[in-house]
Amino acid sequence: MDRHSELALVARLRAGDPEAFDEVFAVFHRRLFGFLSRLSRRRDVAEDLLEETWLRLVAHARRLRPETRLGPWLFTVARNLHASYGRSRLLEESCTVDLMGLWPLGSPSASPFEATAASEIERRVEAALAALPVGYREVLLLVGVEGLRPAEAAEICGVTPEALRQRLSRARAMLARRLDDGGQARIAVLKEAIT
Amino acid sequence: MTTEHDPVVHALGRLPSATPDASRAERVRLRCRAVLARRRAAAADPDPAGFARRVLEPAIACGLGVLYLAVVIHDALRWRGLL
Repeated sequence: MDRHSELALVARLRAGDPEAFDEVFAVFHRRLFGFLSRLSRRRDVAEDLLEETWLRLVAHARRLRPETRLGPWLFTVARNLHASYGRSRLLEESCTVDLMGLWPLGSPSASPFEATAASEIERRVEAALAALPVGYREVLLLVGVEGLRPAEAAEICGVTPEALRQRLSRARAMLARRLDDGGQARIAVLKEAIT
Repeated sequence: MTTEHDPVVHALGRLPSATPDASRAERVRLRCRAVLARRRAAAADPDPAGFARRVLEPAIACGLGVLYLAVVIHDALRWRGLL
């Protein structure tokens, strides 16, 4: 979606145009679901948070700023909803990571992505990603999977671009280490992944 | 190394995309459209009952209060013999 179309969509959303909502929904629904399901590692939670994200959009449609960038706006809402969900569960991410160490794959159960991953490489990358702390996972999802610019990801995560750059660097290193820990050489996996 | 050329980030970009539940997606879409349509209709056609509730009722209550206060002050002054 180019910037001109996006601004036109925002204007129509501000006017309460349901057709504009359909267009935004068609572009972002699947992407937001992918982000939330990998972030939460649970399909049912992702579906709930996704519904709430869309309801937030229609509730705030009239108050959107004319220059709003829809992608970052929606991912920010989704990310904040997930953070609230995490707090409400009263289970610290660090505890989750510790617990996950008890399972060979680093995850107590296969995520929907792990279960359907077409190849061994994808399965291993999904498992390694799922085992990362949420703060690292979210930056990798935003930049690596969703293709957002680091500046946009920083805005979504509520950190400075420099802080995001450091977090992204640490997240990449941690993911690479976890791929190593899986039992095969990381280089071979990545070579296979990019060929 | 930029993110575009990082093999780890590249591998992430090749992960399969997710497929949300289609029937639930449709329910959510219709629900959101209904919310937007309701808000649009409310903005185009302000509710007269809502206007009365928001503006007229407080104005009448305030007016009666001022009138009551004026009568009380008037009676008090007359009782003191100032009127």
